[in-house]
Amino acid sequence: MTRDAKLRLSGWILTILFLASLPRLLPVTFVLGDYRIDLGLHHATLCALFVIMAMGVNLSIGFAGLLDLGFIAFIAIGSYMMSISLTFRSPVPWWIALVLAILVAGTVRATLGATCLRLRGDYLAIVTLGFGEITRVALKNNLFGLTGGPDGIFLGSASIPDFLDQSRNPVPLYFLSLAFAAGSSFALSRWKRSRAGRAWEAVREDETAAAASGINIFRARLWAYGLGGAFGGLAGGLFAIYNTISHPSDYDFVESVKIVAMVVLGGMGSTGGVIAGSVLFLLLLEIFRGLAEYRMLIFGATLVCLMLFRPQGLAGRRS
Amino acid sequence: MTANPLLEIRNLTRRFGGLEAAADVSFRVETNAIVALIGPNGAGKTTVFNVVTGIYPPSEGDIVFCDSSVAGLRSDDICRLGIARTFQNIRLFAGMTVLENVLVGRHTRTGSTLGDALINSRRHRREEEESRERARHLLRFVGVPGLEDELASNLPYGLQRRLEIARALASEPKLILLDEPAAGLTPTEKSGLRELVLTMKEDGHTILLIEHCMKFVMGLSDHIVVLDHGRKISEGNPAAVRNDPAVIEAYLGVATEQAAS
Repeated sequence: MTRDAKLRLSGWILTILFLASLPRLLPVTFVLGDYRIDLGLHHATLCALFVIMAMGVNLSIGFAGLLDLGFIAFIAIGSYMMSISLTFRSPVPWWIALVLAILVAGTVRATLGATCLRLRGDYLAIVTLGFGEITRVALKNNLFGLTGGPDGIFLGSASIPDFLDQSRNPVPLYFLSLAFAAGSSFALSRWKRSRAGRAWEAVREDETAAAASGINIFRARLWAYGLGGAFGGLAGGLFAIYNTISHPSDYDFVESVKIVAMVVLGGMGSTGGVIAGSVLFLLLLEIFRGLAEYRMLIFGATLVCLMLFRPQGLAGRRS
Repeated sequence: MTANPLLEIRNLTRRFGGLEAAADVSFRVETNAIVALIGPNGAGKTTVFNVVTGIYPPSEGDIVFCDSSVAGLRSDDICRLGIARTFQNIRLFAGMTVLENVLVGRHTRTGSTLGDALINSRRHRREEEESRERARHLLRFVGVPGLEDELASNLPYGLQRRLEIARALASEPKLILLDEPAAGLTPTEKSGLRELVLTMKEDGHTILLIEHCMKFVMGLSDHIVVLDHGRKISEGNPAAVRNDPAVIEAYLGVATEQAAS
């Protein structure tokens, strides 16, 4: 084994050990004078969920170059799908509910994509922004009489399978989320170095040249878009269990911006960078919780600096 | 002439509003020939290329490739049928590496799906290995070796032109269209490129190229088609075309038409 491979292997082993021992290490509290920072296992679970969401956005924006400012809509659809399935008169098993969340979110996004993916850049961003808001308002207005209106859908202990119930034991949900986050990251890193991944990048870089190289632009985009939505649905489904509620106010525009920001922070298109970006982002939000709404101000300034000094993100490839 | 030509352009017209960028253009490209499409600026050369490669459909006329019409097909379908091209203002995938650029060219000759990539299936591994090997071979062939992992945008201009040719060749085309491949090259690079085009012919490729520079195409082409103001004004072997008064007039102009180009 080369030295490089050894280093990488030990890196992986350390990461796995660290993630596996997190349930024992957490919660921790840092006290600095009057200021307290509490980090619990649920923060780690939340990190994992954000990694999944960020992968969905990375697939659309980072790989295929399709700017989406309403990604939260697909997370909301996944979340509501999960809650509706679990609270139905004859509830379905949690894993079928999760598959439904993935499929419905992916299908809705592919359908939206089929109508608007011929638009470019800014125009597509406006459509997705509108779709995000429409989805939130529709859910709030008790869409199809299923979404519970402004109260959302509450998932009681009776509806959540015992082993995923955080109030009993937060560890299984943590490991389940972690497994899905790892799986999503794995899928994206595999796809990046594949025929389809290169086709996405080619379409992003130059449509005309991509078409002349034999790539069906529309189909490539539709796949990237639909699959991105499926990741959103997965994250949303798990988020419903995490939150024990699907509530319309959790899915507003700012959340879409946050996820895009994570991807930009980490480096669009870079799987490792996006993971780092989402974890870092979430930790910083938690650490500076005391600053309340000022966090967004600081975060905005940080992003502006990033755009000025390192536009490709922390780990992105320069071009 | 017995065998059908590889490409036949029949009465091709392309209008943009009131402008006829190409008007009633007809010519043939025989298998394993080098055909040059020449003419002054704005003669409609690139328009012909763009119509042949499906960037826009013809207004009138037909394009027959391998005995079937490709007029009005989408770019990616035309590439799949075996026509590859390069662009006048180099269009590489700037944010991708040199090797990846060529690998994109393999798109139509491979078929592994997202699922194949996910489970690293045998098909995916075989295709990746095969494509990488071919891509490396092509990079050596066009003269861009040892720069695989460099970003395409970091290559010097002359090598970018060559890389674009490698990407086009990667799709194993029956016909390759080169849009002003010598534009912006130094005299040394030009003669190198000329060697490359000749080697491509020796390897059995059929080449249709656009060029401004008469000197460059003269010794290179088997057949020359001259366009001016969207119309074909002359056609034939290099010697015949060079002495055609219509061509001389188009290039040098007559006193009253000097402002035209």
